Amino acid sequence: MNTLKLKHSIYTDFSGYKQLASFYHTATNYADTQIEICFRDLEWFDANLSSLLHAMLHKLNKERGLTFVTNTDIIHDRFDVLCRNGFINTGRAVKDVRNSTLPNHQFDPSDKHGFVSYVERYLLDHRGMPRLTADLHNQILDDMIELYSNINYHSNTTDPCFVCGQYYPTQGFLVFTLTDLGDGFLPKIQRKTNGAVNTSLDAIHWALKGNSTKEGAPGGLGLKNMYQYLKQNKGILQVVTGNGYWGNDMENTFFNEGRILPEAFTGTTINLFFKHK
Amino acid sequence: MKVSIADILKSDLAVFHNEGIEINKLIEPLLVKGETVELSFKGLKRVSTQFLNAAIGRSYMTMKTATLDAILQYTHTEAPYLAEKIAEVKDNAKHAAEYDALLENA
Repeated sequence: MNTLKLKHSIYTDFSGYKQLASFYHTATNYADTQIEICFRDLEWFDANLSSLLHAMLHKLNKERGLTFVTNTDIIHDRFDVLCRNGFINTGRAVKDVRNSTLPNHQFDPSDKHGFVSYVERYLLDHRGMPRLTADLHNQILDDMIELYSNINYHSNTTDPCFVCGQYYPTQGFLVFTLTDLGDGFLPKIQRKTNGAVNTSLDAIHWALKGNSTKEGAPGGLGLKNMYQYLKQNKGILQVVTGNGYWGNDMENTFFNEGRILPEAFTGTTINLFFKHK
Repeated sequence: MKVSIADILKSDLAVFHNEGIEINKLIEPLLVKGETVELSFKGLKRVSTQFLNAAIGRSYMTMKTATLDAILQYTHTEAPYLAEKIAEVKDNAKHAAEYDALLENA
């Protein structure tokens, strides 16, 4: 059997995304076969990134005919969080006793009720979320709906949208990851700006500034509003689309403007870090 | 004519672009003829900007605001932030041409 190894640690950052993109591109060398994903040499995996890995496996299955297995003993011993969030099903019942996960889930792009229910039930009511006033609760739900409606329109795909989240009590963050397999930000913004915006990184900046085509920019209002909320509340927003990677956690660093990924993945991944107070 | 969005979409969420288009296709021919349209948001829990851009923004881009304000009425706008969103969509649509020109000259 072909084996692909995940190594070192995979965090919700540039390095983690790069590693998963590399895994994806290596896997595209195979077709119509079964691949073992080996977690033996992996020290850490940010469980919210199940969303991104799930999207990759979906695409590899659909386009390359690949199926995936893994050593369930290693998963149970060291990565049981991936069972607790439902990403890996080993057949053994696992309960999320720590209440730290948000379920790994996929939505049809038109499943608005499913998405809204998920956000209300699992995200907004999670113990890791900051204490929200009724107004803030309302506002975040509204921003999430704006985000989803923009993804639905701009991603130009019928592939599902993948979500997952994880609460990290030590760091004090609840991280929610949303991945779509669509066109990404650049194509529509490039057309709208008559080519003035011609890189994925610039497209992210364009969208975050609240720029909008008359029918909304990818991410649109939801992204801009969510960024404002997170910035004001010690949170972090990361956006990965095309080969562009940007996060406000990189502000005041050498990579203030974002980074270019050596290998791009499809679509857009958005990571929301809510600071638990 | 009264147009109930929730009844047409058979949903309490009006959020997608294609849903907005569906509503716009229904109301625009009436508005062009100068008929009064009551757009009812009754029964909607959430309404997105994306939906509004397609449902009404399009008409504000092609018709005079004063004309539309006289014949297009919004009722039951209790959904969160809906009134602000309608105002914003109207404003964006009205300034779309100027905005496009700015972009082209950027």
